[in-house]
Amino acid sequence: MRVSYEWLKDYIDVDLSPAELAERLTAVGLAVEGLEDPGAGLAGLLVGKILSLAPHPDADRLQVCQVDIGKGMVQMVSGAPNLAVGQLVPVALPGAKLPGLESRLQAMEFRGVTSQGMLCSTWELGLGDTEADRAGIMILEEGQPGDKLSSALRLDDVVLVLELTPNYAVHCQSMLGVAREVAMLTGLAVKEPAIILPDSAHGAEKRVRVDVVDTELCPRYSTRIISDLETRPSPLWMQQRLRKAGMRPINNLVDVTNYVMLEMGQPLHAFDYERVQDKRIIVRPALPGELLITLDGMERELQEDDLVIADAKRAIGLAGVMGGENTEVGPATRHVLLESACFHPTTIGRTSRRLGLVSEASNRFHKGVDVNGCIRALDRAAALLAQLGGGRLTAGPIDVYPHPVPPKQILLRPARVNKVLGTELSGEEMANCLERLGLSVRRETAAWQVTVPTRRGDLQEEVDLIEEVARVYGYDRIPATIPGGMASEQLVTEQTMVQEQAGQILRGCGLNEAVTYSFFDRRDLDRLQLPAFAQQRRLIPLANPLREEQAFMRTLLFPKLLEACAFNASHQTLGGAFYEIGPVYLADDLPLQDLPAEELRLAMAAYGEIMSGGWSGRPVTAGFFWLKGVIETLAQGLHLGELAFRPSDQPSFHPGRQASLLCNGVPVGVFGEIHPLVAEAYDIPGPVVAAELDWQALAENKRLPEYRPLARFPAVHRDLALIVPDEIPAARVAAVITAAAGPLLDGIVLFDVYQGQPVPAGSRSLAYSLTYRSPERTLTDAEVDAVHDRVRTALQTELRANLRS
Amino acid sequence: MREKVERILQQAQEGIAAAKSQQELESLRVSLLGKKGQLTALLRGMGELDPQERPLVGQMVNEARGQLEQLLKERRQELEARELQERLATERIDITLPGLPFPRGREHVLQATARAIERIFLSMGFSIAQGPELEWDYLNFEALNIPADHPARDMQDSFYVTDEIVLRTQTSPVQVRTMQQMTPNLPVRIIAPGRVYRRDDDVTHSPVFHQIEGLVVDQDITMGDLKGTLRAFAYRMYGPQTRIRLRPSYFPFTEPSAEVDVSCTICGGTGCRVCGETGWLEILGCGMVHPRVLKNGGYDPDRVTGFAFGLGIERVAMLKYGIDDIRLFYQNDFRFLRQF
Repeated sequence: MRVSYEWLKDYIDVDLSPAELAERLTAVGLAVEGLEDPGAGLAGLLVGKILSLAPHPDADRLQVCQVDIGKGMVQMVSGAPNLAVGQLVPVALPGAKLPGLESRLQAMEFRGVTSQGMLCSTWELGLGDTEADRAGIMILEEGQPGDKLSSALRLDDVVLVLELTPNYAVHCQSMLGVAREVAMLTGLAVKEPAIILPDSAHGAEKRVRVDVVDTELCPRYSTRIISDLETRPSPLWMQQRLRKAGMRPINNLVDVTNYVMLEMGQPLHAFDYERVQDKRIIVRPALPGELLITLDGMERELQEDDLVIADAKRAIGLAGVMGGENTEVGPATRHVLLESACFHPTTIGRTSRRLGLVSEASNRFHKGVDVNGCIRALDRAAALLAQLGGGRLTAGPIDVYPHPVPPKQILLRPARVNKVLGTELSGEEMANCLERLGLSVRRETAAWQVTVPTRRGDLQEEVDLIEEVARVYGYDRIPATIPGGMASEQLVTEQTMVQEQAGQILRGCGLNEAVTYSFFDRRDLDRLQLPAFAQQRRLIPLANPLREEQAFMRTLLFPKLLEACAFNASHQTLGGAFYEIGPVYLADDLPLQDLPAEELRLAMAAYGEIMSGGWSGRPVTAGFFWLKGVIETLAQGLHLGELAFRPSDQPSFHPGRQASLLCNGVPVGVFGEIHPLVAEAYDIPGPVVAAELDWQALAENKRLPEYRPLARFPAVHRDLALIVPDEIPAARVAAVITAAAGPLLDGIVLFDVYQGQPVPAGSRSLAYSLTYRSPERTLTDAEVDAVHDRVRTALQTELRANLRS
Repeated sequence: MREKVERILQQAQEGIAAAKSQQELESLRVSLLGKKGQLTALLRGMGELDPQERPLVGQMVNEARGQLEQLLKERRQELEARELQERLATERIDITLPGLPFPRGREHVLQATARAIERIFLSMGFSIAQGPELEWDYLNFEALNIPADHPARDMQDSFYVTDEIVLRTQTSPVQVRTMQQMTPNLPVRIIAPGRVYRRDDDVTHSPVFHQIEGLVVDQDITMGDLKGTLRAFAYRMYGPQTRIRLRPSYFPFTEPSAEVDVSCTICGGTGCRVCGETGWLEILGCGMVHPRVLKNGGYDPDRVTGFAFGLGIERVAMLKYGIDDIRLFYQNDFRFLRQF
C-alpha cells in the first residue's frame, strides 16, 4: 500500500511530518518500508508561459520562444512540434539537473541563437516513456509562471510505502483505513468523503437484472447504472494520486473505480452497459473450459472453481480478478454498469494464483473486503463518475445481499488482557484502547461484550482484541520482565555438547566445518559407483523440486563434501579438508507412509595439500593415514574407547585403501581413499579421502576417561627391527609382540616402515620401540632381556620374521 | 722463597689475564695448581726448608693459591660470558621468516552464529529440543493455526514429499512436538535450532536455511517476559548498548505478534546503508503463543500462557558480517570460510 501524504490529509487533519507519521505507523504495525518523494527528479525546474513564438532564422525545424518564468523572461530554442503561445510548459534553466541526464544543463547556442535552458517533454522529466511522452513538450494544466514544476504537477508530496501484514491488509489497504489508524494514534477524527448523488432515479430493475447463483461465493452484489457519460482523461489531481499509489491512469471511467478502491478498499468494476447482452448480470461458477479474454488481452481458460460475472450469453468478467475485454469501457462508452461486490476470498485467491493474474482488486478480495461497505463505495464512485464524466445518475442501486452480516460480538475478559500482556491496565484504559479503533465496548458483565464492525474482518476472537489493546496502548510501554521459575529438566543437551567437542578436535586437525544442502541429484548415485541394489539408492523424492540437482533427499553425507572439494579445486585451491555433522534421510518404504529416519552422520573429506609445510616443514597431504590419524585423534579426544579397522569393500572407495571402522566392536562406518573413478566423476584431482560415520553410534561411546596412577618405577626401552612379508599386517606383528611380552610391556611404538634395498622384494622392514616397566619394582637387565628374547622368538616362530636387531 | 712465590704469582696473573680461552686457562691452572704445578712443587719442596720457616712459607703459598684460584675463577667467568656472547651472536636468526604452520580448521560462520545464539539461551535456562526436517504437513501448518487456504501453504513456497509430508518450512513444528511430549509438565523452556526449507533461491533466499525457535510455556508467562528475554538476548548478542523495539506484526501461531528490531549494529542507530537509514535492523519474529496452538500442544490456554520466537541464522550472520549473498554459506569456498 502506497500512501500519499497529501491525499491522506483529505481524511484527517494530521499535523505530524511524514517522517514522524511513518515512525508512529510502524510502531502500531503498519511497517513503513520507505518514504518516497514523487517529485524527486524535478528539483529546480519551473513553470514557464510561452509569450511568443518565432521561426529560427537559420533552421527550419527550430522555433525561438520567449518564455515568462515569473521573475523575468528567457529565450529558448525548441524543435518541438506542439508549441503554442499561451501554453504553460516545464522549463529547465542552466544548472538544472534533468532525471535522464548525467550533467547539469548549460546555455547552448543553436546556429547563432542562444537557448537559455530548455523546455522539457514528459519523457525528459522521467514521468513517462510512451511515444506521445517523447514527441513533444509537456503542456501543463495548472500553475503560474515561476511556480515550482513539482507543485504545478501536484508532485510536492511524500509517499509512505507500507508493507502490510495479512491481518492489517484487511482494513488498511485503503486511504480511509490508514486514516482510521492515524485517528487511533492521534485522537483526531476521520473525515469521511461527502457523497453527493445527483438526481437518483429509480427503476434500475427495468434496466438490468442481477442473479447470484451461489451466495456463499458472492455474498453481495450491488450495482448502479450511470448514463450519458463522456470518456476523457481524469483531472490531474486524480491522475497524480493514482500514479503515486502505483496505478496507471487510463480514463475517467476506469480511474474512478480505481480511485474509490484506493480510497475505501472496495474494488469496483465498470462494464460498458451497452455491451452487456440482454442486460443481465449472472454471478456463477465458470463452465469447465469456458474461455474469456481478460482486459490484458490474454485468453484465459477457466475451471469450475473460478467465479465469473456473465451476461445472458457469455462470461464478461473474472469475478474479483479482472474484467473481460468484451465489455471493456472505452472512448465510445456512453453508459456504465458499475459493480461493487463481495466475493469469497479463497476462491478469488486461488483463481488469481492459478492464472498468475494478481491485481489490486484480487489482492483485496483475497484478504477480505467489508461486505457492508459495498454500497458506500458504489455511491461514492457513482457520484464521482457523474461529476467527472458529466453523466446523469439514472438507476440503482440494485443490491443482492440476501444474508446481511451483522457486526461481530466478541467476549473479552479484562483480567485476561493483563495476564497475557504483563500490564496493569485499568478497565477504563482498555476500553479506551478499543474505542479508539471504532469498536464499542459493553462493560456490564465480567466478560465484556465488544462489537466489531465488519470492516475489521481480522478481529475474530478474544486474543485478537488483546492484540489490539497492546497495539493501541503501545508495545513499547509493556514492561520488560524476566520469566521466573525453574528451567525445564526433561530435555537433554548432552548431544549438542559432544558435537561441539568433536568439532573442536576436528578443527584442531585442520578440517573445516562445512554446511551443505540436504539434497541429492539422482546422478550422484552413478557418480558414486553405487550398485543397483545399494540401499543408498532408495532416495526420497521431492514432489516439487526447484531443479533436477536438488530433486531428492540425500542418503549419504560425504558426497556433499566431495562437491565442496570439487568447488574449491575448480577455484584454484590446491587442497583442503572438510567435516560436517548433519542428517541423511533414509526411507524404509517408498512412497513414504511415515516420517523417514533422519540419521546424523559425521562425514569428512579432503583432497590435495591440506596444510602447506611453510618454508621449512613438509606439507600435509590428503591420504589414508592422515584420515585414519584424524579418526584416532577424535576417538582419543572424546574417549570413545577401542577402535578397530577391518577390510571393507564399499564401491565408492579404493578397493585396497578403505577400512570399516569399529568402535568397541560395533561397526560405525567406513573411510578411506575415494575410488579414482569417483574422484574423477566429481572432478577432484586425486587422491581424495573421505569418511562416512554414524555419528549417533560413535558418540554414544563417549565415556569418562579412566584415571590410572602414574608409574613410580623407571622404564627400560628396547628397539626391535624385523623383516616380514608384505602380507603380514602391522597389527598382527603388534599383536604377537604384545602377547609374547606379557604384562611387563608398557608401550609399543612403530617408528619406521621401510621397503626397498636391502630389504628383499615382497617384504618390508618394521621397527618398533618397546617400553618395559613394572608397576612394583625397578626391572633388572636380566628380567628385561628374558622378556625381550621371548618376544624375538615369538616373532621368528609365529611370523617367520627376520630380526635385524 | 718469597720472591719465588711472588714471581710465580706475578707471572700467573699476567698469564691468566692474557688467557684467550677456557682451555688456555685450564692448562694454566694445571701448570700452577695441578699435581705437577709450580705452587704444588713449592709445597712439595717445603721439606727441605727450615722447620721454623715452613709455616710461614706454607701460609704464603696457600695465600698465593687462594689468590690464584680466585683469579682463575673470575677469568673463567669472564671468558664464559664472552664465549656465550660470541656463540649467541652466531645463532642470530631472521625473525621475519614466517612462523611454522599449524592446522586450524574453521568453524563455519553459520554454525558459529547458531552456537553463539544457543549458548546465550542455554545460559538463560533453555534446553535444546529437536524435531524432524521431513515433517507432517499437519504439524508444520495446521497445528500452528495456519489454515488450509493460508498463502504460506502455497505449493510454490514449500517442498512437498507426499500430500501429508513436507520439508518443514520453519522450526515452529518443534513447538507443538515439544508441548505434546511434555504436557502437563511445566515449565516448557526450549530452543529448537535446525534446518528449514523454502522453495526459493536468490541472493537473499536459500532453499535450505537455518532457524532457531524459542518457546516458553508456564503459568503467568506474559508479553513482558517475552520482551525481557529478548532484550537480555540482544544485550548479550550485540552488546549492552543495544536497544530493541517490538513492532506489531502477524504470525498465525502467535498473538499478539511482533517483529523485533535491534538498534543497527553498524551505525548504532543513527542510520546507515546496512539498516536502510532507519537505525533499526529486523532480527526476529515473536509473540504470545496462540491459544489454539497451546491447545494443540495439549495445554489449557486458560491455565497457561507462553511466548515463542524464531530467528533466521543466515540473516543474523549476514547482518553481523555484512555478507550480501546467502549462497556463500553453502558453497563452502575456502576463501570465504577462512575469513572467520
